[in-house]
Amino acid sequence: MTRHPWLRLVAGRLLAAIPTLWIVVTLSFLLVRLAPGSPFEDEQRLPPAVRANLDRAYGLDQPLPVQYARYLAGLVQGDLGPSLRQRDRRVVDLVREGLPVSLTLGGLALSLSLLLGVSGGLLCAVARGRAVDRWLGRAAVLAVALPPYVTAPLLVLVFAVGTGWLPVAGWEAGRPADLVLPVIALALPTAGGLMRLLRASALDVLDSPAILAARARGLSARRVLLVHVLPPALSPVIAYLGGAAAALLGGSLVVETVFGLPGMGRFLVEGALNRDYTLVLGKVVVYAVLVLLLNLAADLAALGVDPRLRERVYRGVPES
Amino acid sequence: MPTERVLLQAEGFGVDYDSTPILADIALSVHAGEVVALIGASGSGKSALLRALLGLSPATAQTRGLLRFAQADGGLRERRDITPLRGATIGFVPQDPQTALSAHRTVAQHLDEVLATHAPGSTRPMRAEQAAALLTSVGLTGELLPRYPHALSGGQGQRVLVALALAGNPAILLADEPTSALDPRATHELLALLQAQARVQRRGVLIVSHDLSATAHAADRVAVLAGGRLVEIGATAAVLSQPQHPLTAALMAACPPLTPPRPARLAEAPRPAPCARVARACAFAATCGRAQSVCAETPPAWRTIAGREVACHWPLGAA
Amino acid sequence: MSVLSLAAVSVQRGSRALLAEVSLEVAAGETVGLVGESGAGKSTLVRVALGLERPHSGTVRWGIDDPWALSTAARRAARARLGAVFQQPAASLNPRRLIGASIGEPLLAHARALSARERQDRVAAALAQVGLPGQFAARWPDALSGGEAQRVALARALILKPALVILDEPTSALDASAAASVLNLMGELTRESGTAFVIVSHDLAAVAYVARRCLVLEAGRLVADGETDALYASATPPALSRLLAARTERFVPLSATR
Repeated sequence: MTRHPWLRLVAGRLLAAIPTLWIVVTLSFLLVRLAPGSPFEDEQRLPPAVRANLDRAYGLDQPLPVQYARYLAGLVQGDLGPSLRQRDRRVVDLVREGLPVSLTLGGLALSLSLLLGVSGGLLCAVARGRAVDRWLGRAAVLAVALPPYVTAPLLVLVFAVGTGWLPVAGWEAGRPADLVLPVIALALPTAGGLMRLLRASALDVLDSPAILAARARGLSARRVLLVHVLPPALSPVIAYLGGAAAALLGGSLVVETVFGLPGMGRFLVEGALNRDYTLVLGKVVVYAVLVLLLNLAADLAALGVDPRLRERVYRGVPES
Repeated sequence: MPTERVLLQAEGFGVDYDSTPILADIALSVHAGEVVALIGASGSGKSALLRALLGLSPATAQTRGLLRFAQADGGLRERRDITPLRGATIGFVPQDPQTALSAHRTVAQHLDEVLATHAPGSTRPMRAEQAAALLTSVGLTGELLPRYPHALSGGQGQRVLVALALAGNPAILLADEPTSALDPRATHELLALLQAQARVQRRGVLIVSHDLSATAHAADRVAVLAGGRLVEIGATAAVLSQPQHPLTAALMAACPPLTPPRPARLAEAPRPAPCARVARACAFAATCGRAQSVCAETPPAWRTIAGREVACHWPLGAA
Repeated sequence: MSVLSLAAVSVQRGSRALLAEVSLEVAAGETVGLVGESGAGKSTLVRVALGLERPHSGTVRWGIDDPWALSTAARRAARARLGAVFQQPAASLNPRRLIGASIGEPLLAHARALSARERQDRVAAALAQVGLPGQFAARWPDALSGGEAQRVALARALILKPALVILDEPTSALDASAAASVLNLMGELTRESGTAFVIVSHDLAAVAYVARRCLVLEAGRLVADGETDALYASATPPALSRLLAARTERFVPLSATR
């Protein structure tokens, strides 16, 4: 056990994540296997001998507890098993291909939604009740209300089909133009949500005695906004971001399908449709790890803006 | 006192919020070296006056009349735009350190940014030295510099607020209920600190408070605000020993005495009508026990009785 | 017969003693003041007396019952014998509930047999007891002045007809006139209601106005327990003399010295 309180916090949280991960994997394993059907069942009728061979090759002929134990044993060594439908591919290799695409897309979308959400939310709070505030507010509601399966085709229609500025779909490594529309489609709902959240929290801070006092000390409006309003206003945003970021980075089923991007989101569709048990489980494991890591990051960021929380970490007071 | 330099002067000053007057006919001055207590219950208009003096009224507010502030050359000048005076000519001491300081910034960070704002050319080491000196001047030590607000006691926090107000070396200190979060001992010490800023540093100190008994005793002059208007202004000793306005008398009678004899019931002060309705009558025409028909017909003019100004048709001394 | 008694009650926080061997009795119908400087342990004493905090050693009794010897459910039921009023009246009322609902809330927990009609009558009676008209039950908390809000808090504290009400700084957030109205009400209640009161305040004059008996707390210890005026006159123990010395009346304004 290390003596540094920060490392101790991180190590403790990572240790605590292991049982959580185990529960997620177990439940998902059971759900996936309890669903009717089999990976080798749907398309063509296989002769029973071939079917039995396949089942044996992938270990599906073993009792469920044995399969479960084998899966866990593989997982501990970082092996997510073979894909049941994509011959000769390991799930780990598929993740290795898909995850960078989803992380790039999600990372850019997260940055864009933070930029739009934070600057828009601050602007609305400062211009409370004025036209800018009203129009941005409406735009935010629209962005939240319209799901990506509506915005994505609309964006394609206007900017790809209509004007021809950007490609309709596709993914070639190193071509940034491919990412513009998917990133926008993915970022809009989160940006809208962030904007509304930040506007509300910034208004609370703006009305507080601390801000009256800061302005009374003669500080410039910019300084008051960036140094005294923004950090405390970010607190609720950070808590929200932990979950939102995982949804963005874990791969969006809709956006990746519409734009034909080979990311993690497509795994779920393909895997679920084909009863590719290991692929679906692989996606769940990756997503769960992302959620746990990003929530830890969000908690660390929350410590960054609240010295009272920091002090509790240093004093070793358990989190409430 | 009148021979001392005037640092802040309001004349016929008033504030409307959304075209509704909430403060009217304010005539008040603060001299170098004196402490003035402005006493007003909640709803009296004291918050509106505070915000107006800092130029921080809400966007829907309109002001009338004149506000004059001390100039560097010693003169007084009318100011419409108070923005450049904040922190420099007029230092503000807010009510509660736990809410008036930014929770995520240390004492040092708070002090440094104010010093940097009011002395643009200064370097960080210079400011660090000044910050430590400012803390010393309010009776604290540099030990508190790395602390966050939540780690300060009530008395320490309130002194930090005073240090911040002093960072721009203002001529005027404006304090908003500076003792309401403090216990009696810390209250006493803080008032002594503000008094010293007037006596020794020759600043003008204006303390705005709802509580006559808590702050008035530390002031040289007391002004009583009710229903958006001043009703009595004078030397503390004269006003407290022989109040002339029925409201002032009632506020004093509302405070229980420390030792017997005690009244069976404490006086509860009459409530004033809102400022908007008092242009044609006394604010207390409907609630004051001494009111006659004239009180509902004419607003009372200022008169001088026993060394103070009072706005009442039937002041106590003349009864 | 005492409604509250503490015997050698101690509370530790880390290595610091917040209360050290505090023993006291409050008799039925009696009004007692409690004074002390910041950090003397007043708030801890209030929490212990209300059964919100369990002392590390010593015994608390409400009447004959030791709340910490009771089951959790029985302790909760026994809390009906105590009422509390805190410093910030506005903060203690739920802004989204009508005043009548806030006042009647304890009845829902402790007098479930009552019909809605009976509850309404009890709320009206409680409002009358604190000198407020019955229409207040249908108002929202934000429409109340500070003095009115504190009366409403008292009505809620009194609605279960408790044996003891503890008031923690009930007047220090109020202006002089509102404080006077609360103190006047306290005067009436102490004479007429038969309820015992403990008033905790740093306002020595307010304590003396309502309480004939006064306790002084210093660094977690009970250092004086006696007749209020006699204690003030003697200006001992040191904690009390410091509190007396800190009264702002002792300031000398410039105008008086010239």
